[in-house]
Amino acid sequence: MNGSGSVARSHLEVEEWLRASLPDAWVACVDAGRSPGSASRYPDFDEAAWLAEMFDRRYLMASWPAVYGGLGWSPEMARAAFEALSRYEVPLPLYVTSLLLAGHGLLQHGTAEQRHRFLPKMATASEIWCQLFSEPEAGSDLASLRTRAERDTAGWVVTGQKVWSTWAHFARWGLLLARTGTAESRHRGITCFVVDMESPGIEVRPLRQLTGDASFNEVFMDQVPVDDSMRLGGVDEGWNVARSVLQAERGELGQRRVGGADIHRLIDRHRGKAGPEARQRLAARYAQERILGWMAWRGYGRGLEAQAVKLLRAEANMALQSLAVSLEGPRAGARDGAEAETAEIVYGFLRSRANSIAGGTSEIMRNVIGEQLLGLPREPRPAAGAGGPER
Amino acid sequence: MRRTIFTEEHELFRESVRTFIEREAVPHTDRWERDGLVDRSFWEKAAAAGFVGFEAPTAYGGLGVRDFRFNAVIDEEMMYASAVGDGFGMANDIMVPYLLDLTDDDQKSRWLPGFTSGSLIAAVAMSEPQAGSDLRAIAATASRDGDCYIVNGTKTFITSGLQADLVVTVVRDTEAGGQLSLLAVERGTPGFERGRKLDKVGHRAQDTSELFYSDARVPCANRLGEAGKGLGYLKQNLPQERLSMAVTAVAAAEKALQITMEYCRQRKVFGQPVGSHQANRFTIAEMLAEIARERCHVDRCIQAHVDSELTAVEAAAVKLTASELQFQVVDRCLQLHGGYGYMDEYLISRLWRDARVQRIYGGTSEIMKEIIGRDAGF
Ligand SMILES: Cc1cc2nc3c(=O)[nH]c(=O)nc-3n(C[C@H](O)[C@H](O)[C@H](O)COP(=O)(O)OP(=O)(O)OC[C@H]3O[C@@H](n4cnc5c(N)ncnc54)[C@H](O)[C@@H]3O)c2cc1C
Ligand SMILES: Cc1cc2nc3c(=O)[nH]c(=O)nc-3n(C[C@H](O)[C@H](O)[C@H](O)COP(=O)(O)OP(=O)(O)OC[C@H]3O[C@@H](n4cnc5c(N)ncnc54)[C@H](O)[C@@H]3O)c2cc1C
Repeated sequence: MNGSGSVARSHLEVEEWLRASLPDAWVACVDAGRSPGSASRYPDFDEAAWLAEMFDRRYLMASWPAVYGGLGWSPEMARAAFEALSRYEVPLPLYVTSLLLAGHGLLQHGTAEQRHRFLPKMATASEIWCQLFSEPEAGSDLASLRTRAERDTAGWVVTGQKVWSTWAHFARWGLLLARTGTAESRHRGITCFVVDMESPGIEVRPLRQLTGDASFNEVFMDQVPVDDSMRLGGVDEGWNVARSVLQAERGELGQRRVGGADIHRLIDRHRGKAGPEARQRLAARYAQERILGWMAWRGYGRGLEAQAVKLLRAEANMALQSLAVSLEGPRAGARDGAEAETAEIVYGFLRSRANSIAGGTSEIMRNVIGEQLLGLPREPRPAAGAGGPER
Repeated sequence: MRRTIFTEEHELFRESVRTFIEREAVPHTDRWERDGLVDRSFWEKAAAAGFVGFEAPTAYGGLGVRDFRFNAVIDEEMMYASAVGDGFGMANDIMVPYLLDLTDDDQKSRWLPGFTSGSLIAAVAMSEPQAGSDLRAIAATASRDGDCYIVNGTKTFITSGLQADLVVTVVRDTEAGGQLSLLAVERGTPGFERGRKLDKVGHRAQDTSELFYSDARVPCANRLGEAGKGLGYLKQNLPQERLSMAVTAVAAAEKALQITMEYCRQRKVFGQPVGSHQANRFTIAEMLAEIARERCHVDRCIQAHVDSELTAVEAAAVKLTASELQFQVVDRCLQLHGGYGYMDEYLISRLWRDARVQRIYGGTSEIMKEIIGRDAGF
């Protein structure tokens, strides 16, 4: 299936299902060009059941081949499906990102056996994945990571520590980067593995973040056995996997806001009340959000340009959430204010602070754009051996 | 740059304040944050050391020293030590003018000894659910019944609301044609209730709460100043409140930058300290330069206030620029900490959370701009 006819058909199919499965009031909001707001506003809406059906229909993983649990749609058709989901502002759990990334890694670098084994359960979200990349001493400078994977007769034994691992506390599988080369080998001595999070020797400790909740973790690995069949890509070739996964992550982060109120919802909230200054600021944010929305729907931001879109999206969302909180005024000083919506806005503001850090910091985005996309001179590297690619 | 507003006396005072905070506040910071309350015993110790209400005449337990530089020293040292709680700013910078300048002798002898000994905590309640920026929208009422006022209404966002023993409450006085009056409402007044402690983004160690008045009987002898002159009194005291926030803001920015520079020296990325990457070096340089500029602005305003020259517009301007700078600085500092900055246990994440409200309370940044802009004739 290909061509614009099938694109229109896929869009129609998803849209029909959305109209049938979402509450009428929700659909009416979308038709009126307003934001439906969060799912909690619809007491009769069974979000969990709805999500289960959406995963069952594979609309998020529509571009994956059917044998791996997708629909085998062309990228254009899959994007049309995603566009429909975005337009109806359906609730997508944040772990969707981690599934799409791990899926991307497997599709690009996995063996047929690995794909058969993991992708179908990923497509239905029946197994959650986490990303075990960052370490206490290796975040932006990911190529300096130290977690070691040593050969042994049965395969590999992994020892080390990871940090900020989102969802590790309920993930079934982890995508791990470990050092297999010498300590100085940087990106030339890293291998990627799939780790069973239920293996002996793994300890997951939740970390409290600035929002007060704990959705990321420290992961300690002590002599964790990993079979060689769980290696993704060649030995010492894990950097290729890391790059393509990070690239995909930035693509994803450019598509969707992480944390906080949507611009339409904010406008609804202040309609009829906003003074001239607030109106100006809302209008400016509206323009920015619309443009980002169109970019996402059109699929901009693939390849190296993903960093540009990620950077824009991060900064736009932080500005948007910052405006949301400003417009709440003093009410926003209190998190449990009389109104649930105020509390949600405050939470979104706190959550959005991570946007310029997670998935690669804004500074790193600018470096990659400057050096790799624009071909500007590289940042001077002082110490020999310390150079090499950035995240 | 050397600061020029302080004398040796202030520096000695600073030493003793610093020692006191290190010993009595810093070790309890985490617990106070967790409990959402600063121990009252801390407050009594601070008062015994002469750091509370020292402007009161000696006859009432104070030192009789009215020099805002001493206030500033305490505010700054609290920030430099990263101690928590808004008690000093509330008591010395905000409440003192109400309790000293608007009280008669009888009221002074009833309240000041407790205030200066730390056994009486005071608060001011202006804001209401429907009246914050717009004080003219205040709806709480007081009507006369014999030698009492009958007070009805709701106040919100009241700092020290739970612990306060005396709440200076702004009401519409029906006797005074609906103009505002200030009534000191004491703990235990029938019909005066406290709501829950509000769960805040920052300043978690400070109790901020709602207050409810339903037919609360407040003796007329508890009115501060003249009936119906409340708005004027508030306007008279707001400049010092705003200056206090500016003092805190620039000190908080200095502190945040200091810990961030340490972090940027220690943590290495790509083989060199975080701060040695030119982009970050520039970010740090900008912050140093901007803080130096704001430091001069704030110091000049402190001196102007000591000389009784600080105008309401100047106070609004310094509150605006200092609190906005504080937020921009802590935000950039958090960024320089990377993922660690987003973790609760790192100090910078608390400094970031605590900074947000500075652009709100004491009058929002937008209201500061209104004050400045209107004064300019627009
Ligand atoms: C909410 C959240 C969720 C996360 N989830 C995951 C996850 O699931 N899995 C995972 O593996 N990781 C995850 N991360 C980690 C994230 O990818 C890292 O925090 C990020 O890459 C930054 O690394 P770092 O924290 O070590 O900061 P550092 O690398 O120490 O950076 C410190 C500061 O230095 C700056 N800097 C670094 N290098 C340069 C340079 N060359 N030039 C200029 N400035 C530079 C940075 O921009 C930053 O401001 C998550 C982080 C957050 C906040
Ligand atoms: C932690 C905390 C502690 C506090 N402690 C105290 C206390 O101890 N005692 C006390 O009395 N109060 C206290 N306050 C209240 C604070 O001083 C007031 O809330 C604030 O001055 C205005 O509040 P509001 O709810 O009416 O804001 P609103 O007037 O509803 O403001 C909402 C938004 O509209 C903007 N806005 C309002 N008017 C205009 C305009 N004309 N032009 C443009 N924009 C405008 C504001 O800037 C804000 O962004 C505290 C607040 C907090 C958060």
